[in-house]
Amino acid sequence: MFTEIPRLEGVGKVTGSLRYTSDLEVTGMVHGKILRSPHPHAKIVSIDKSEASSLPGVLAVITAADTNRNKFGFMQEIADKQILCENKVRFVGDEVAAVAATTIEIAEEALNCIKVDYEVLPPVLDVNEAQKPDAPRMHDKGNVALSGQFGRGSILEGMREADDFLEADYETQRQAHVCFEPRCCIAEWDATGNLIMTTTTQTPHTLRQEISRMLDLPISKVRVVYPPMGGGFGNRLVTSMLEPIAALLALRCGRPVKITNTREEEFATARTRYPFKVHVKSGYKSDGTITALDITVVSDNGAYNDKGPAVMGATRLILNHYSVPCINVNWKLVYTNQQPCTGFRGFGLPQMQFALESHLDELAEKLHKDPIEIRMKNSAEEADRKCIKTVVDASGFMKKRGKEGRSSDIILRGIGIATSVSSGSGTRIYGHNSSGAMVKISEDGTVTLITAAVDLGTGAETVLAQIVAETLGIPLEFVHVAGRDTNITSFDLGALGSRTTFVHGWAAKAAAEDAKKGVLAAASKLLDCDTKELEIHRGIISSRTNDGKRTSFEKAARYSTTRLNTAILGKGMYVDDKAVSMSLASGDMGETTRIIFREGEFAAAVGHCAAVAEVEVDKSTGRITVPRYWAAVDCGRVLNPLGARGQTIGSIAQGIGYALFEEITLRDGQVINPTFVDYKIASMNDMPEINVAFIEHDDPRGPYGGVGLAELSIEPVAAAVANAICDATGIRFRRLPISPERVLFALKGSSGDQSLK
Amino acid sequence: MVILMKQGVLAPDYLVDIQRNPELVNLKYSPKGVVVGASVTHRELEQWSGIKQRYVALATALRKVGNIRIRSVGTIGGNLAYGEPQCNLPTVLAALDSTAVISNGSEERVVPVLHFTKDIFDTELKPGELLKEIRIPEMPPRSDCEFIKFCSRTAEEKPAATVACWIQLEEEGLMCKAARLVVGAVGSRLFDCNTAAKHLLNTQLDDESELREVGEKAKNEIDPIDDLYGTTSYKREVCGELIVRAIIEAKERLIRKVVDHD
Repeated sequence: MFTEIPRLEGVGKVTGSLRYTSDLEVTGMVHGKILRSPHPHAKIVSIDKSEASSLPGVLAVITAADTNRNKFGFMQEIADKQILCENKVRFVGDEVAAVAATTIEIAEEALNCIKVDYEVLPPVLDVNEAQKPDAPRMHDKGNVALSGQFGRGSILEGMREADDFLEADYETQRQAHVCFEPRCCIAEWDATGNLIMTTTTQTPHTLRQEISRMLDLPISKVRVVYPPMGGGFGNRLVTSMLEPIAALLALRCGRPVKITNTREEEFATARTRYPFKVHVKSGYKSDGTITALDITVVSDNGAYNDKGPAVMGATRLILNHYSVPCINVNWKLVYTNQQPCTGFRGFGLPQMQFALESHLDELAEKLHKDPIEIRMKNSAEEADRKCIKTVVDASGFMKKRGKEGRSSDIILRGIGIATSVSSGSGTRIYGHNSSGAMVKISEDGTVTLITAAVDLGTGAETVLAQIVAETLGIPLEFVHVAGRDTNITSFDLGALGSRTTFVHGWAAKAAAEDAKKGVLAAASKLLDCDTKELEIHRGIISSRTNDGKRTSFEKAARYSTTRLNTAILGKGMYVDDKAVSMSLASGDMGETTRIIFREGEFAAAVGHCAAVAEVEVDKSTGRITVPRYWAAVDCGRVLNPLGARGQTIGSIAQGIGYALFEEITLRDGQVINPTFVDYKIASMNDMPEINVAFIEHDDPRGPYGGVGLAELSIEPVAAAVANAICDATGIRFRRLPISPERVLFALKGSSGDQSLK
Repeated sequence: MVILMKQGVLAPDYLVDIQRNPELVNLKYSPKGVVVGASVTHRELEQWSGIKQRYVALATALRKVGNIRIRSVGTIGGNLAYGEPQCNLPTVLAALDSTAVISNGSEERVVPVLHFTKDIFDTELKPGELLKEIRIPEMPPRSDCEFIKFCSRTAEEKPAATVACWIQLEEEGLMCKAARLVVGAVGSRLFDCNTAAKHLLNTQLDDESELREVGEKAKNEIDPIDDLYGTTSYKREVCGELIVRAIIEAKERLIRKVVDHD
């Protein structure tokens, strides 16, 4: 069953017949639009909605006065955002008012008629400015919103053991998720006051909780329905204000309300990856063994709190990845009057690994050792070293690195390596990483898996169907996957932390095993033998001891349902009892909220990878291309090679963009490239020739030996590319994205910015 | 225009479909050159056999416009009238000494393509006027043109610079008799680097350091602006290099043609 199986929803997707939330219409539906702040920082003096309200076709206009004024935060303890701004706006795009109208055009016109009187305030646009004592305050507390620390060992001792030190600063940028389906939701209230929220979400059950908090509704009155979604990547983990706003508009006008982000709203307001400024100081022995790593991370929180603490929490995986005995990470998230940030594939690891894997190469250079040796010396696990060896052999790294004659008059060529680690099972920092599933076997032998898994285009449903089919011993065609509704599915945290195959795979396997008992019980009666003798293979149930006794899966199912009057239903769960929530530090914290991650393993299972990139740099234009790329991935057993390869290539595509050209650019708090014309992602013509090697083995922690890999391969790309560029040009670039302009001027020796090349 | 309407920049009360006007869909070739009606699509022009044989640089420029779906719908006239500096065609058309014919229904006037776009989204067209056709003169004997569209980061983005170099050799031998260097996309309009181009005359275009000198001189004849595709200093630097590459490429193709012919 674990072969190259195309997506179950594949035909629907390529023929355009699959219905996404954006495609849906509901009887009586009207359209909502949001009025957003044009200023990065301003007081709201007054709002006059009278003209908008009287426009024909306008059914509702709401402002903060029409809400309960609750503040919202993904962690309620750090709530800082009102659904609609009441006194202040804090970024360009902040939600100020909303309109429901019979057409989108009327709604847009109504927005233009809402008169908001702003008193502009000086904005804070930079994390350094924000931390100055006289900086304007954005919220009722200081601008350092959140901070924390984690690590192991004693940095002082570790540094004392060192022969020498290396220090450097690295910087990464805001990256947009670029989901093909913009955020979209339809809010509808039924006659008994239940809210049905049909929406683009990766986390339906927590969204339910979020809406319940924001609207002061019991959870039982909120139902979240989630159709197939056109991408997530971490953008849809936390509610955007679309959902509560649509709900309030629908309540007010008595009609279902649909709100869809425009593409500009997606780029400018839907939240980006957290940009990191990373300071790394390493203490090392002359043989290349690192004795201490002291790391400081400062990140732009944007205007409101979001997944920041979880993003920082994910970087704890570096403790699993490097053998360095003393590691200390101090992090802080600083408010600015700019678009907030959220989780994005890899969470904090693409940022951190750009810094650390670049740093390892800088260390290697300083010590005149090769980058492979440095990595072998400092990697934590055999699995990491195996990934390194695989990718070094596949790419011919040692033969190509630093060799004369590679480059021509025009093109400089280089090769670079980087490694990383990722959760393969979901993280434990939320204090919960469990789920349940049900397997229903119909009277005709077809099987329905009812799962809380959210498939955001990751192929989750396909892999889960494979697991169920494998467990039951039946062809894949028998299996359907259902769910998509919080009324039916078991409580679950959603699609994040590469957990779906792992958590939902275990739950589905357990549910299938449970259902199998019912099938075998019926078969044993049919065949008059003991259930212990029976096995199911390719839909045929046969006795191991008596060749003559055989029947089909369908027959057994029918017999159970119609003759034995026993419906076959299995249930199963996966429980991670080691999940311990991150929490706020107790005691007087002053202006900044301290977050604590509990000790213990960050994740139940991790994935490992290593990657090598070859680059070509045009000497006279600085233009960079990546013609070839090798990835070695260890995710245990690969349950669907097509899906696993797809996830790897997709991750690499986003990694290349991250390394070389993706950046949400802000000027005076305004996003100046909120369109596909000006924000470029890798197209087919930008992609390298990619070779992926899966280092397969049974990982007993995962269902059928497999663990998740959805995020893994994006993490090392930027460092592999930066290391290759350094090999090609001799110049170390420590800030992303690495642009041709910086490369060209550095090559010509006339670059001004020497410290953050 | 559709793009400007979508962005809310243009909100006309009326739209008039001029696609079926027979005068505008002409694509005529005569000994004097090519006449391209304003409503000819990029795809039609790109596929016309005469283009690939006679105007290699124009074929290159056409092929690199957007993608095939856009080229099948977008017209040459519409592209020019848009007046966006990053368009490929004006650069190469100007290097080929093309002219734009503007009509107000009764009278016509002729403007060199080099001067057709005055500023960003601002062309020679006055209210009541229509771009009727583009006239591309026949390529003079022993001449060729090279077009380079330089996208600095990804394969599919607006160019940081477009460069077109047209050169002509003497009736015999390999001396350069005439040259035109046109740079587009870097600023608000096209730049004719004619001072730099003069330094190509009466040379054999084979001394790379001399060509680099020309590239250097050309940098002073352009007026780039800072945008998402590059800063002024980057664009200047890159143009110097691209001009050299365009000259070399045009020369080598021309020599191959001429050697075959002779």
